[in-house]
Amino acid sequence: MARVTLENVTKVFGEVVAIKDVNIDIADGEFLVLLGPSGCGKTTALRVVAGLEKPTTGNVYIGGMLVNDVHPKDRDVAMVFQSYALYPHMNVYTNMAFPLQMRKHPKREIDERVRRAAELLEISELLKRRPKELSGGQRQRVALGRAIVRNPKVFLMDEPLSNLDAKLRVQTRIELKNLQKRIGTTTIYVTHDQAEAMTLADRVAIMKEGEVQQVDPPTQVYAGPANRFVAGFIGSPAMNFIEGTLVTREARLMLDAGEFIVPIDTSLSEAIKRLEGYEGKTVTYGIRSEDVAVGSSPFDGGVEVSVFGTELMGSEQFVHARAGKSLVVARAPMTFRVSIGDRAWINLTSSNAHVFDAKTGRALV
Amino acid sequence: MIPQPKSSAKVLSVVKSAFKHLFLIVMSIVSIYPVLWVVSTAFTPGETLATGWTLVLGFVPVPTSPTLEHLSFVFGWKDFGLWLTNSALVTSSTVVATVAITLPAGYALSRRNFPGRSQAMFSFLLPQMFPGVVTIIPQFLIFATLGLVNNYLGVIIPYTVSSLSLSVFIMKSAFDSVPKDLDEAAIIDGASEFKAFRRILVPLTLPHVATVALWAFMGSWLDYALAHVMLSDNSLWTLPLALYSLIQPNYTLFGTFAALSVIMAVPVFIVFMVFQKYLVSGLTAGAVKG
Repeated sequence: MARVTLENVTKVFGEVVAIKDVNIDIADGEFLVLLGPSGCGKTTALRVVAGLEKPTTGNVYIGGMLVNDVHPKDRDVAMVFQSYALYPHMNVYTNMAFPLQMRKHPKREIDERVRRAAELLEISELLKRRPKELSGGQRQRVALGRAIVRNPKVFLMDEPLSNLDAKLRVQTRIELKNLQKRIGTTTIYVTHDQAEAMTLADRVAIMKEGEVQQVDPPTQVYAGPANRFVAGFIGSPAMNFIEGTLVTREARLMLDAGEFIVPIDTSLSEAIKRLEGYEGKTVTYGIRSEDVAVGSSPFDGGVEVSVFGTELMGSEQFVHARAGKSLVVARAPMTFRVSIGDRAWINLTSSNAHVFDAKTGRALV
Repeated sequence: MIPQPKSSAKVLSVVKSAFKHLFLIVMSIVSIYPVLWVVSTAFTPGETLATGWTLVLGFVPVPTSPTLEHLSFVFGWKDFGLWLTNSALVTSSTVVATVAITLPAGYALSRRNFPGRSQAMFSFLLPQMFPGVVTIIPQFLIFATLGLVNNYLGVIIPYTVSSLSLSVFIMKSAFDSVPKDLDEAAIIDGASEFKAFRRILVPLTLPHVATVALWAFMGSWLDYALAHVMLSDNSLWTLPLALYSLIQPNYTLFGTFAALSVIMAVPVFIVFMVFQKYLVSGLTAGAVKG
């Protein structure tokens, strides 16, 4: 177990900046998820920690020791690859024993540790099989087994569940979380799947174009996104964004979106008023679907919208509506009756809403 | 009822298959016939050709009164043991040198990105662009300057170099077909780059290694032209030179010639039988992605 620190790490491939000035401090035993769209640099960051890539500038520390020039084999990290990277010519037992053989552990100890790890992962009966004789889920367990068998300081996982079918993925991610808590090893986990990030992580680091946007616990990332990118990336359906200008009408702060006006919740407006030059400022107003109130008849403060789609999700439904130039998704109970083309009314004022600088995307409150 | 188109498709496939088999049978006979001829001659008394045979099935020559006289003559030949040893030495050295150079070269071309990589690949192809005979005289002149004529190295080096061209490409494509994740997994698991190569990459590409070894084996075991130029000293001869010495301007010992040919073919036959499975997969591996 160890603390892992990336300090101003930049990695450049030719002319492409894969990661830029990354600073993340991962506590001992923490489960950190690197989350972001394809090409955001999350895998590069992981490979830098593994030692498979050398940072162009910046430092990587594992357990307080600077490891920039330490060979991957001497970093005492274990990695689970997206492809599992099981050695096809070895059986499960030898695959799991390999890291211990490389470290010259005595035969008896190797045997003991492989069998213990196999038991923990419930793959004891597969030990004699070759990888090609295993299902995707079993291969994934063997890859995990190979990682945990030698009790490394850090686990590095590169989208290890992405090749599993949806049902198995959900089941495995819960098991993985429990396993990590039981073993207590510091884990860095790369994924582009936000559901995986939210369920597994102690903290999530969201990346975009090589830069870390925010590092916070999942609830904080969801409830208090640092910028518009994070707000839009986390949550399903994505947060609603409405462009507009901050104006004061009848002593109340409002968002003038052109075709309609949204009164800003008092708790937010107090905070905005403390900012300099807010009046007349162009901003992006963000509100999640569950904070949008929707009704089929006019109500006080309701903005009239036209419904252009509904998605039934089981106990609830997503109502897609057009409000002026903006598209808004509202969450409504299953019993809410509305059809495509109907008029509906929505209330966009909420204390959970967010206001972002229209230019920089930074959260103002 | 079976629909009409299906049944005509079935007939067509049977006809196609019949033609395919007929073609293969004819090709097999054309390939095997000369071999049968040589084998029969080796076991037929006398030193003449195509006499003392009975044709079984109209085309398989079988000696009327089989004999081992030619084989025993070859085994009793004064320098046969020496030439066999020379051949074995030259061939095994070529095979070992080829494999020893090809594996790291293929690895470097597959896994490393270094300046001059594409030029290096081209340089391996270069010897393939000229007929081997064309380069024999310049090679002889160079080797004479280096004092390598009438020296085992005088044939081992050219045999190795000529087998490298194809072998390096076979190994490069073999290593290309192994996902890089596997080397990286091994390195993170605690292996050095060399260990990852030895424990992971080489075992996974064994069919290709077998192909490369066989290629080198065939090239040196059966070569006559280069050996004839480089090894004039009778004590350094390899078996093909001994074989050719049986063809004289005025007479040829056909029976003995055939017997030695059969003896020389035995190791090739055994090696091919043993490695047949690997050889086919090695030559075709990497041709199809996935």
